[in-house]
Amino acid sequence: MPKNRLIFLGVTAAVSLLYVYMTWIFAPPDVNLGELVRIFFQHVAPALVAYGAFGGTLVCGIMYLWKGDLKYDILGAASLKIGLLFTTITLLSGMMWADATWGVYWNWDPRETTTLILWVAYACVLAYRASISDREARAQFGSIFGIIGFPMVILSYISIQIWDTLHPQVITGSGLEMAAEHGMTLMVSMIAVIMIALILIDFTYYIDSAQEKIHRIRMARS
Amino acid sequence: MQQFELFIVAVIFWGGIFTFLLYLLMRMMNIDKQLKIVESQIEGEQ
Amino acid sequence: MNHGFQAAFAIAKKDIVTQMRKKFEAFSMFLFALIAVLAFSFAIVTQGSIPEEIGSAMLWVIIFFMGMFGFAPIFLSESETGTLPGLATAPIPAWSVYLGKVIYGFTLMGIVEIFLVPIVSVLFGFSILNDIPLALATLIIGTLDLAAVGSMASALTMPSESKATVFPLVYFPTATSGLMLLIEITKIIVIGPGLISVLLIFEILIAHLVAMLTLSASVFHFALSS
Repeated sequence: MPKNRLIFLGVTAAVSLLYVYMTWIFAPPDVNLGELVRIFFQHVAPALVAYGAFGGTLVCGIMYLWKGDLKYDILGAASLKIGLLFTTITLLSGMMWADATWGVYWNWDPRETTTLILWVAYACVLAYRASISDREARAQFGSIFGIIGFPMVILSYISIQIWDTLHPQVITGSGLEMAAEHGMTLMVSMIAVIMIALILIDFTYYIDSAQEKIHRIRMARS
Repeated sequence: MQQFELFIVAVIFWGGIFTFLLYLLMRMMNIDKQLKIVESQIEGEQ
Repeated sequence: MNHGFQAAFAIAKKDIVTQMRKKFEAFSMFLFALIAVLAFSFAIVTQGSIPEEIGSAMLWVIIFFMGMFGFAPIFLSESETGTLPGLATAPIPAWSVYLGKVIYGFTLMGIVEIFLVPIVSVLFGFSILNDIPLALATLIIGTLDLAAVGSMASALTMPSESKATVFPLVYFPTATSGLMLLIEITKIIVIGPGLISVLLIFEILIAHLVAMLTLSASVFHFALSS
């Protein structure tokens, strides 16, 4: 493993430990939410990072179509997988949170619904990619699908502004509406989750490009 | 009751990340092995 | 630009004329919709009637599924008859091919909807006549939105081995967001006023349509070229 990667891994581990400390010990119980505020830090950051990862898929798709370099496609697919992972975490932690505050796991809140559609949509992109065997066509059409799927991310993001919703709206135009300690914890959680996501994307990218290389060598030999 | 939900959320969050990381590490080890085999085969042919 | 629009209309016209000659496709779509009406009625009829808001929502669900039959063959038939390379190499911009297909899909769905919407509204016992301009606008924009998504989805199925299974995979997730907005608007039309929230959702629907059209049209060149 290269040295840079190890250093980044170490820093991420340190930030993650700080994140765990701040989530569970540093942050005081909230006025309204009580202890449940600890779910908040493990729910918001993955959600925003998942949106970011799908945005990464969009950018990589555009870059692939523009440059035609296969590495952008591999990177886009890696970003897509990590986005799906974090959307799953968001959905499940959101369900637990809903159970704790509203008493049911799922109540078809617009935010929940749009996030589930988002999950299904990007899972479909993954399944669609797998259904194309020609590598170039998979990259090209997978990129296109990754681009036209992006409006769903925007709809999911703005859904709480469109519909009446139970989902709390924390990040408003006038900034964060919460205690200073909670704001700090949220910042640290964002940094930690972004770093974790970058590591996962990097590993996936490394594996997929190695796979690609092996595949190409085998194809050339046979 | 709240303790239970907090615990489950922590399990979901870190469990999800570490399961994926473990999966990636296993694939990485596997792929490194394969890469070595393929490269040694190429050298053997030359 | 003008040339592109003319080409789009020419493509749409050619497809519509071929379709009119065959006729069975539109008719079988209509029959499918009727079967869907029956299937849904088993699930949702309680004591001889259906709640208005559920019935009106079902209208769009039926149209959504009907799109599978309307849009899937758009490019499938081109690649089966071997006219696709001709379209790709013709001296017209790629987006006009896409636009032509959207117009064709819209017309095909529209023809079926002219018959379908009154029948469904009678059978399910709801009326969209409370606000005729809004209902018409919703039908037109909604069908256009589904056609925009459906044509692109049809183009995306071309490189895949299992075309029949892949089309819903592409069409459903991209169209669901539009469907959600459409059902919301139709419910408000049927149940009663709430103009401000309707306009907001309608704006989002139009934004969705515009985003789908421009995104698809701008990447369509890549879908044709391979």
